[in-house]
Amino acid sequence: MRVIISKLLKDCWLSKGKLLLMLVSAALSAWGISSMIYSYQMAERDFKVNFASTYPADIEVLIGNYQPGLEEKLLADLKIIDLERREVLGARIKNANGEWMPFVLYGAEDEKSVRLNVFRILENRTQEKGKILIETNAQFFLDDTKDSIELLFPEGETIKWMIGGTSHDPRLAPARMERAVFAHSTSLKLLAPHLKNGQRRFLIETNVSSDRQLLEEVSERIKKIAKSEGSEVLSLVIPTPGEHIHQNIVDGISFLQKSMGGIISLMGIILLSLILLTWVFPRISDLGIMKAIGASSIRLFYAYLMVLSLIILLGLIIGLPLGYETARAYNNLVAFVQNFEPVTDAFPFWIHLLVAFVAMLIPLTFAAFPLLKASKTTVQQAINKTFYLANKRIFQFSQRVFQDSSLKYSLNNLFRNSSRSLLMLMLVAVGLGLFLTGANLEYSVKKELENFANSAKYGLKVRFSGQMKQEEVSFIRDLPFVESISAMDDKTVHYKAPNAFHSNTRNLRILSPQHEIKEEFVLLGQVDKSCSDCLYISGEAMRQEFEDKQLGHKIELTMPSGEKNTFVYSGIFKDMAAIGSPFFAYKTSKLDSFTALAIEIKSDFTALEVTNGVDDAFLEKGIDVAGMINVNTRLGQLQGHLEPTYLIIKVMGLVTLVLGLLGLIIVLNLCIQERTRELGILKSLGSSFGKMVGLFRLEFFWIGIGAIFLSILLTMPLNAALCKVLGETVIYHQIPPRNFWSLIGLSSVIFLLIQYLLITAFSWFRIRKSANAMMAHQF
Amino acid sequence: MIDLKDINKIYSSPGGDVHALKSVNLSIQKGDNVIVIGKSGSGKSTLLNIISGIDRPSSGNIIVNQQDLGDLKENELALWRGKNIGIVFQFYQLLPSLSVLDNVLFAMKLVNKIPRKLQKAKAESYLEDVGLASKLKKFPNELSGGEKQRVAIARALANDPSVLIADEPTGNLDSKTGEQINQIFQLLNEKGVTLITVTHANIAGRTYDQLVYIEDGILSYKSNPKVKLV
Ligand SMILES: Nc1ncnc2c1ncn2[C@@H]1O[C@H](COP(=O)(O)OP(=O)(O)OP(=O)(O)O)[C@@H](O)[C@H]1O
Ligand SMILES: [Mg+2]
Repeated sequence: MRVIISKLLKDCWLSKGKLLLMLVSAALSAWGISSMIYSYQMAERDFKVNFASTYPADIEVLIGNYQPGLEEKLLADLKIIDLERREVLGARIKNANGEWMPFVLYGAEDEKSVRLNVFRILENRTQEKGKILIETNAQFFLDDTKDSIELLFPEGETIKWMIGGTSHDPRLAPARMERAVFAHSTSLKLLAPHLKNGQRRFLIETNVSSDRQLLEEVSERIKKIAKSEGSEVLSLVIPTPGEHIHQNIVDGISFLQKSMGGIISLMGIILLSLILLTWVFPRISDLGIMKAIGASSIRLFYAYLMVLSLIILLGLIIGLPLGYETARAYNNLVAFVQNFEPVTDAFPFWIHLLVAFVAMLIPLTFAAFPLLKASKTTVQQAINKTFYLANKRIFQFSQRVFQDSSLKYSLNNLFRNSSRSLLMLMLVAVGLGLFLTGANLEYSVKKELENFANSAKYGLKVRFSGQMKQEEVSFIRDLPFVESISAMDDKTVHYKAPNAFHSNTRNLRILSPQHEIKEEFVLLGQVDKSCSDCLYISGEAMRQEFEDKQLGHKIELTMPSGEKNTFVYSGIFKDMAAIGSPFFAYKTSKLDSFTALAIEIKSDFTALEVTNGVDDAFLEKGIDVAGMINVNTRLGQLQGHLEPTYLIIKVMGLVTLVLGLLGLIIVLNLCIQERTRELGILKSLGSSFGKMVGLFRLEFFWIGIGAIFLSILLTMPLNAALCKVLGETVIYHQIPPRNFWSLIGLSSVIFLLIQYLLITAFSWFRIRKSANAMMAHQF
Repeated sequence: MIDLKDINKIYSSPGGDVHALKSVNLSIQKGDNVIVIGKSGSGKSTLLNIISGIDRPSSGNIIVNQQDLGDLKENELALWRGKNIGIVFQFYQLLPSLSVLDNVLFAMKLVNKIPRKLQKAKAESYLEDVGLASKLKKFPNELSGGEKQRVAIARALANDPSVLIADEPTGNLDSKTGEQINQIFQLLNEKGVTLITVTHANIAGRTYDQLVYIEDGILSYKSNPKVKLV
């Protein structure tokens, strides 16, 4: 065997160009595979180190009419193992640019007593016990020359606090994404004057952390205990166990990351197999001869496998560090989205070993097939050189269908070595398909959001911090740019989806009778404003929950008061600007008390222009606005979230396409080499260079056409899948996949043109160069 | 030493089956010089392929040196062939990426029948025997047809085979060069190597132990007059 291996290595060395390309593609496949495994490992580790070590509370509860001694009563419950007071205070803060931003302060009782939702103190500027620490990622918004912050509380009072240092809490959304300033305080002393009388907020730790059902039961008991102590539960939240608030975005990113890694490795593997074929096939007669003098198929196969392993091993040396770095870059992005500080420690050796093993095994398995086939070459085939014969059926077909002999020649040649042609076709098709997918995806999302923005009736929505009355906001109607307003009351409700095991929390948005929903935004059912128990759902997640439910199905919602109301499932609304996809219901009578306002803007104004005007108007009246969303900004935000996705997919496609064209040249080179004798015959029959070039061009034209066709077939399901994933994770609404036909057409034409030029130039150059060799060839 | 018993070979192809060998019986003694003749397509190459184990018969038994080839698996057969049979083809079939010397050494190392220490010296002496002592470092594409064929013969001899099989070894050479090659074969035969040669060339003036004539897959004529034909 050693003698065969050393001969193969020598052959390798003789065709250094191909060896280099094989190394590159081996590196590519190692890169893709290792980046997937590494990033999985990194994500797991970051999650453990960052999130899990904050000891997230299982239940967060706000108690009204607090009576001393409640803590002991709660802790007496067998399932509750710890309890800690943690207050939350909301205010507004002026950022470095002088704009108002939300400010959220988490107040612990004492620096030393922090056991749940643990935040880290990064920097201590004072020795004082009670101090305000700014979340490190929120410092970005503040003027760093100032050592104090100025806040505006909902009641209108302003206060100035010294900054005591910085803190970090990985459970929070990153401040820059949330556009809010987070802070922690290590004592309740400073907060006390601003807390509501008789209210207390507790973090609760149970011994049933991972079981949602049991957590629900504990919650019920907490409510009972509070009641029996003369207090009441004002709100109670069970954060999804083991999930960061941005889990959905992270899922979307990791899907992309996985598909990118998968495609890179697929490309590498295809390219490796392709080059391997072009390397093995010119020497295939050697295989037969070696067999005639005593080498067996198995020995030949193993020898090839050893050489290939060596090449892949060398590829690993380049690919693995690349994969590691790519995974790191991705992970930094994911960490940013999750407000994590990525762990930078080296991995234990076994992880690298595992990655190397998998990254070795996969391409080896794939590449083994052409090798196995080649090593089966018989002595007779080698002697007669009959291993690449035209496929009989294709031959007969082209014989019958085409009159033109050059058409026949090109088509028969294509199928002389069909696995090679197929691999090339795949490579080019994947590249083109990816590029088109990026374009189609961008087009689909843009179109969908544009359509929504253009036809949305209410351009601006305002959320208040508390309940409002009609007469308090009626002045808005008089603003010059306001056409109409419509009140909406948001309530947090619990419900159990038809097939779900656990109950879920969502907003119920109660609309006033005059609120209009455009017909095109009613995806299912009909709006009946006279029906007060008709319930409409919205968003992709809820649509899936109700997938197999007929209209008319009863849904029971648990209101904040604890009272259970039964509604009738009456349809699906589309509201992409609504955050968190609420339930919708109409109130038949006037909505007296509400929490939000939808504002219809006169057609000669844009939502963007009037946002500040509305904000000022409320501020003037002393009404606290919790948040304001205009349709364009909201949709712009969504679009912005997706921008990198399109880019990544398109760049990946272009890279693959370049690799595909490279593969094309490799194969073209091989074809010319293989057919030197044939070309000599053609030449002696009086064919010009131009004609010969034309023959090759025609042959590769088939591949180009096939690849375009295949790429269009590929882009459709891929685009649909991405639309689905992104619709579920980022937009929260279904995005109907669309095809950007004009771009598809244009890209196809450009691709064919590039291919045409490339092949003409290369084969012209190559055929001329081998002209002398051709003439010298004996035939 | 070589015994073919009732050998049939049928190639099945979409165009219909080809019965390339029909109930062939043949017995060859050690040291025999056998010449196989017949028209194109009569089955000569098929016969040699079966004797060398490159191809298997559709039915019948073939025993070479007491070894029933039907008992060997593909991999064992390849090794057996390397050790026992030397093959010379019409178009030389050298390995283009190896030098003249390496082509011979390669065959030796493949089966390691010759002790490793002796391999190089032996390869050189074989190449010397065929008159190529000055071309050891050359590559196949730098040699003439006759030289290539002589390398092929040296390679066929590499592992001291008891049988040398040659399918039209001079078919691609001019008559003078062909004559030189035949002389090499003759010499080898005199040293005791069993020789089976397929030829299209005029066999007048050549000595042989058996003349085998094949027509349409039927071994129709045998003679062993150990005389010079005139
Ligand atoms: N692999 C094959 N598949 C189908 N038929 C075959 C195959 N190999 C040989 N034949 C057929 O078997 C018959 C014998 O072929 P063989 O090569 O033995 O002839 P030959 O006597 O060596 O001819 P030549 O003198 O031209 O070399 C021929 O009719 C040939 O067409
Ligand atoms: Mg023949």
